[in-house]
Amino acid sequence: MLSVLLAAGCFLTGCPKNDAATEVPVVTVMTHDSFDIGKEVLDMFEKEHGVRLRFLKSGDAGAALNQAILSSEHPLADIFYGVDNTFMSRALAADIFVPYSSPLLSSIDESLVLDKNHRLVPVDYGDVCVNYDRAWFELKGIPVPESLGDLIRPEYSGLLVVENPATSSPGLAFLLATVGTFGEDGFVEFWQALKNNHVLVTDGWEDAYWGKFSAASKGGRPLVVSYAASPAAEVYFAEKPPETAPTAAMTGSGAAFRQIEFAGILKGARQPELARRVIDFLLDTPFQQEIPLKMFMFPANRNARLPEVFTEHARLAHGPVVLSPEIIAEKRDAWIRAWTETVLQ
Amino acid sequence: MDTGVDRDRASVRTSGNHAAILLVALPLAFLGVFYFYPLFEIFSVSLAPAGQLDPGNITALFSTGSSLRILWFTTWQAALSTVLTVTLALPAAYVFARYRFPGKSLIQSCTAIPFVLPSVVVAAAFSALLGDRGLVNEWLMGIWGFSAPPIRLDQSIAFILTAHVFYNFTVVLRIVGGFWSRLHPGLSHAAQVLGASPWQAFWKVTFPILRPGIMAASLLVFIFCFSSFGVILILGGPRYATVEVAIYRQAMHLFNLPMAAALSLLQICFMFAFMWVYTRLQRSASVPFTPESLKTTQRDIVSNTDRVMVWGTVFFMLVFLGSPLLALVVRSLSTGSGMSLLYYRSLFENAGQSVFYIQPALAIGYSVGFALVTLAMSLCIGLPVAIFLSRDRGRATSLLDPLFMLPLATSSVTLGFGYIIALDEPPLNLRASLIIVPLAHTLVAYPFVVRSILPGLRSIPAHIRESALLLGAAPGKVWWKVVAPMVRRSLAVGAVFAFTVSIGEFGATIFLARPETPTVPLAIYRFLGQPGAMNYGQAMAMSTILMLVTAAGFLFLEKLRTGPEGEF
Amino acid sequence: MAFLQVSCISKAFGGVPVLRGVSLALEEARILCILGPSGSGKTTLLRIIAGLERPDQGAVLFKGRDLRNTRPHLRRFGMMFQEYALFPHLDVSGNIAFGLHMLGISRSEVVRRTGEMLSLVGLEDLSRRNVSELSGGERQRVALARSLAPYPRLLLLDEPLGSLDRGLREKLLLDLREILRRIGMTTIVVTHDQTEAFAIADTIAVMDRGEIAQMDTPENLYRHPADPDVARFLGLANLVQGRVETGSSIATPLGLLHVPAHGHERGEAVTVLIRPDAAVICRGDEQVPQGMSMVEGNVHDCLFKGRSYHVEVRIPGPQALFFDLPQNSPAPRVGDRVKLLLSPGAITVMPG
Repeated sequence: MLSVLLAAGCFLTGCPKNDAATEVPVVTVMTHDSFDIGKEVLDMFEKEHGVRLRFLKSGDAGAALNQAILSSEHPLADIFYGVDNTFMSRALAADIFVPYSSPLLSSIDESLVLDKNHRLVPVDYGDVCVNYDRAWFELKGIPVPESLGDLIRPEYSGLLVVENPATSSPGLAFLLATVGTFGEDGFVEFWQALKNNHVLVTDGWEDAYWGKFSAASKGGRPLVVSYAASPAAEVYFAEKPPETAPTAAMTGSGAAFRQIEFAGILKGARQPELARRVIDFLLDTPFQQEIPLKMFMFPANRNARLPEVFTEHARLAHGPVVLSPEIIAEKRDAWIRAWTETVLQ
Repeated sequence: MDTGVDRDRASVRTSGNHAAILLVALPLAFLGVFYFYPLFEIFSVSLAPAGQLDPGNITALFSTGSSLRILWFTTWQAALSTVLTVTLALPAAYVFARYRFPGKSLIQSCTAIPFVLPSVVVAAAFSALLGDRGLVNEWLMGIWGFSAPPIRLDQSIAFILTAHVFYNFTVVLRIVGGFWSRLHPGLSHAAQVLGASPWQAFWKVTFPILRPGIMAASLLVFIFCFSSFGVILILGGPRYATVEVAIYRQAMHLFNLPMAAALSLLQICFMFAFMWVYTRLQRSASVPFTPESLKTTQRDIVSNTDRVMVWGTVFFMLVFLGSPLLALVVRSLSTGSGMSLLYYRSLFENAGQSVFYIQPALAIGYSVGFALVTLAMSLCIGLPVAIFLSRDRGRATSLLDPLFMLPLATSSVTLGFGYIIALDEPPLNLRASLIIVPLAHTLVAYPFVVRSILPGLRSIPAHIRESALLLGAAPGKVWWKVVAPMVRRSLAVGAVFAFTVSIGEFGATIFLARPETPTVPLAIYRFLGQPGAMNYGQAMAMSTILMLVTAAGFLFLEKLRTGPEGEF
Repeated sequence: MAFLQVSCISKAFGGVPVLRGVSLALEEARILCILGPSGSGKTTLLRIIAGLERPDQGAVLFKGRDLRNTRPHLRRFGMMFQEYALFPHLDVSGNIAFGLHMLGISRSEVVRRTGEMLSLVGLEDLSRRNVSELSGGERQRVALARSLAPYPRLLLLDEPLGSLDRGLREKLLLDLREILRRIGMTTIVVTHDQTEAFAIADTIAVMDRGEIAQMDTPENLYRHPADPDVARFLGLANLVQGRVETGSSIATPLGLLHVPAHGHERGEAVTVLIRPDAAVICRGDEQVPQGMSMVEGNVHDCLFKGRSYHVEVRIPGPQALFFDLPQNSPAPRVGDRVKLLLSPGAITVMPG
C-alpha cells in the first residue's frame, strides 16, 4: 500500500504547473469535445500576440454551453466557441456574451450572421443530411434516394438509421430539416410514414454511425443521418485514400439542415482585449482553413481555401433548410415531444 | 442476557463512541465539501432561482406520470439485472472460493476488465458479436441456413440485461467469492450429514451465512444498474430511459435544468429510502463467524466432478466475458489489408499536427495516475467509514450508512454542474485544478471500498477483538494486528474496484478533465467522434491498450495483496 | 451380516494414495475407535463412510446394503466434525433442531426432541445462546447433541475432543462415553490420542499410512501389538531386537529373555516388547524364579508420578528402558545399579 501512496504523491506533485510557470497572459477558450486546431497555426497566433491560449473542453455542445451558463458569475473562460443555431436563442437569453463587431465579419458569409448585435459570430457551418453506403446500393442495384420524400418509399424500408433529436444534435438538425421541408403540420405525418417504413432510432451519432451504418462497421443499414462532409472524412481517414468516397451525402433541395457554429466573448472575461484578438483569429483565414480537416465543417470565411479532399468529396447542400433561432427556441420542445410520441411510442 | 460479558461489551461500546466520531470526521467533511455543498448549490440554483423554492418544478414531476414510469422502469430493470447477475455469478463465486487451479488469479483479475471499458466500446463489442450482423448470427445463418438473423438483441431489454450482467459479473464474483472463501466447507457437509440435500444445505446454511456478502454485492450492482447510463443509451436505444438518462436529456438537450434537478432529487430520495431499508435488512443479516484460512477452505482439483465444475465455469466465463473482449482485440488488428498493427502504430503519430493529439503513453500515465490517487483517497475515506459502520451504533448507523452510499447513486451530470457553480471561489477554486478528477472519482469509488470490507468486518466475532483488548492491546493496535489481517483480502478487492472505477470513469471525467490531462477513455471518445476507418481502428486499438493497462494494474495489486507475509 | 461393513476401500488424492484397501466391520451398539497419527487417512475413511467422499475402490455396506449410490443426506448417519462446524447463523436450539427439520417431523416433536437433547448434554440453560458466544466445551456438547438429535443409525465422531484443552478433555471424555453407552449408539470415533481410544472404545482399529495395522479390543491391543509400529504408536517404547534361541528363550542385548516364542522359527530375528508396568525390582541376591527373566542396569532418571515411579534404566550400550514401578517399593535412586525381574506375560515377541 505504501508504494501506491508514494506513487500517488509523486504523480500529484510532479505534475507541471502550467499557469504559474509562465508570465504570459492566458486566454481561455471554452469549447466542446469536437473542437480541434493544428499546432502551427496556434503557435503563430500565440507568438504574434504574446499570449497563450488554453482550451477547456467541457463535454458535448450542450454540456459545454450549460456549464458556461451555470458558471456565468465566475466565468471559467474568456471565450466560448461552439454554440450552434439550435442553441443560439437559449445562449443569448442567458445573457452571457458581450458584443464584438470584428473587422473580419466583412469576409464572413452574410447569411450565416444570425445575431445582428454580434454577441455570437459564425465560425463554421455544416449540413446535416442522409449519408448512404455506395457499395451497398451498387450491389443491390437499387437507385439511391434523392429527397426526404423518397425515404418513405417501400424499397427503402428498414434501411435508414436516424438519431434521437432529444439527445443528439445531428438528430435534432435532421428533425428540423423535416420540419422545414414538410412544414409544422406535415412533418409528423412524414415521421409516421418513416416509422412504418421501419426507421431505426439511436440516441447518439456514434452509435448510429459506428454501430448501425453498413459502410462504417458491421451495421446492417446503408442510410444514416450524418454530415454532408462525412464522405470527405471517410476518404481522409482511410487506410489508403480511395479514388471515390465509400459513402456519399444526399444533398438535394430541402434534404439538409444547415448547422452554424458560433463563438463569442463571455461576460466577465479577464482578458477582454486579448479575447477580441482571439475572435479575430478564429475568423481569419489561417484558422478558417484548418476547420475542414480538423472538424469536418465548412469555414464561414469566404476567403478560406478548401483542401482538395474537401473540394473532391464534401458537398454543400442545395437549398438547405433554414429556421430562425427564435422559432427553434420556441418550438423545439413541442416538436421533439411530437416526434417522440410518433416515433418512439 | 444480562451477563457480565454483555455489560463489558456495552461499556466498550460507549467509550468507543468518541473515537468513532473522530473516525468519520474526515469522511463526513469530505462528503460535505465535495458532495453536499455542490449538490445544494445546484439544487438551489435550479429549483429556487430567486431564493425562493418554486414548487412548480416538483409538481410538474408528478403531473404527467412519465417520471414515475421512468422511475418504475429504472427500478425493475435494475432489480432484474441484479438478480440475473447474482444468479449467474454465484456458481463462479463458489468455484473461485473453493478451488485452487492454475491461472485463477489472472482469470479473476481479468473479469474486472469490462468494468473499465466505455459503454460505446462495449456496445461495439457486443454488436460485433451478437448484433443482427454479428459473428454469432452470421455463423448461425451460415450453418442452419436462416434467412434472417435468429438472435435479435439490438435495442431490446435483453441486450441491456446482458450488458449489465457482463459489466457487473466481477462485483458479485469478487465480493461474494471473497466472503465465501472464508467459510468453512464443513458447514455445508455438516448440513448434508444432518439430512439436508446439497440444495437444502445451500439454502438453509450457506446462503444465510453468505447473505451479508451477497447483499453487499447486490446493492452495488443494483445502484450501478439503477444509475446506468451508457448501456441504456446505446444498447437499449431511445425507447428506454432510466432516471439518469432522463436527467441527462433534460439538462443537456432540453436545457430544462429545473426538471433535471427535480429528477435528481427524486433519484436521490428514492435511493436514500432504498438504502435505508437495505441497511436495516443488512444489519439483521450479519452473522458472526471466525474466518478460516484459505488452506482449509480451498482444495485442488481432484475428481472428475471437480474438473467439470471448475473448467465448466471457466469456460462459461471465457465465452461470456471473454468473447466480446476478444472481438474488440480482433477488430483492433483487422485492417483493410489483413491483420496488422497499423492502428497501433498510427496512435503514435500526430498526423494532423493537432494541438489536442493525445500521446498514448501520456493518456495511460494520466489514467493510471488518477486511478492511483483515487485508490489512495478511497482507502482513506472508505476504511474509516467501514470501521465505523461495522459496529452497530443504532440510529447513527442507519442514517449514515445510506448517506455514505449516496454519491454512487447520484447523477454525474448533476454533480458535475454542482462542481461548476460551487467550487468556483478560493480556497475551493478547484474547477481548473488537476485534483478535481480524482476527487470526483473518489466519490464513486470509495463506496466500493466500504462495501467490499464491511461484510468481512461485521462477521468478525466480538470475542476475537475483545480477547485482544484483554491481552492488553490498545484499540488501534487491535485493529492493525488482529482485524486488518482478517480483512486484508477484502481490502484488496476494494482497492481493485477503486482503481477500476477510476480508470473507466467517463461521465464526470469529460466535464472535469482538461485537454492537457487526457485519460484513455477520453482518447477513445476522441477517435469515435469523427467518421473514417482509421478513427474506428484507433479507437479499438486504444480500447485494447486500456484493457491491457487495466489487467497489468490488477496483477500489480494482486502482488501487493499476497505481499511478503503471504496470503491470510 | 455385520451392521456396518467397510470392504477394501482405496482412495488417492492427486495420485497420492491415502487409503489402501481398508476393511473393517462393526456390530450394532458397539463403539469402534480408529486410532492413528495425523495423515494416516482416518478422517478420509470417516468421510467416505459418511458419503462426503467417494472411494476409488471398495464399498461401504450398511446392514448388507451397498451405500455406493446413497447421497450423504439420505444415509441418516450423524457426524460430528473436528471443528464442530456449528452453524453461526443459528442459535444453540436452532443448531440442534436443524436435522429434525430435515426429517420433516412436526414442530412440537422438534421442540420436544431438542429439549431432550439439550438435557442429555446438560445445556438446557443455553438454548437461545448464539454459538459464537459459547466456550469450547459447550460447542462440543452442542455439536454432539446436534448429531444425535435426528435419530442417526450410526454416529461418526471426528476427533471429538481434539480442539479442547487437556483438563476439559478428560471430563468430557467420560461424559461422552457415558452418553454413548446410555443410548446404545453405534459409533465410530476417529482420534490420534490412545488414552481417548482406550477409554471409549469396544474395539480399536490402528491405522497407519492408509492401512489398518491391527484391529482388536483395547486389552488385546495393549497386550499383543501386532508390530513394532503399532506398539510405538500405543506409547510402548521398550523395544529391543533379538534372535530366537529356543522355543522359550530369546537372545537380546539385555541377556537371555525367557518367553514362549510361539510361531517363530529358531534363529529368526524378532522384536521384543517389554511393557513398562511389568517389572519388579529384585532385592539383593534373590534367586531368579523359574521362567522369569532378569535385566540389570543403572538408574538414569526417576520421576515420582503419584501412583508409581517412572524410571529410566540404562543397560550397557545405548539401550534405555522405561518402567513404571509401584510406589510401595522403596524409590530407586539415580545412579543405583538395579536388577529387574520380568514375568513372561510382560514380554511380547513380534516379527522383525
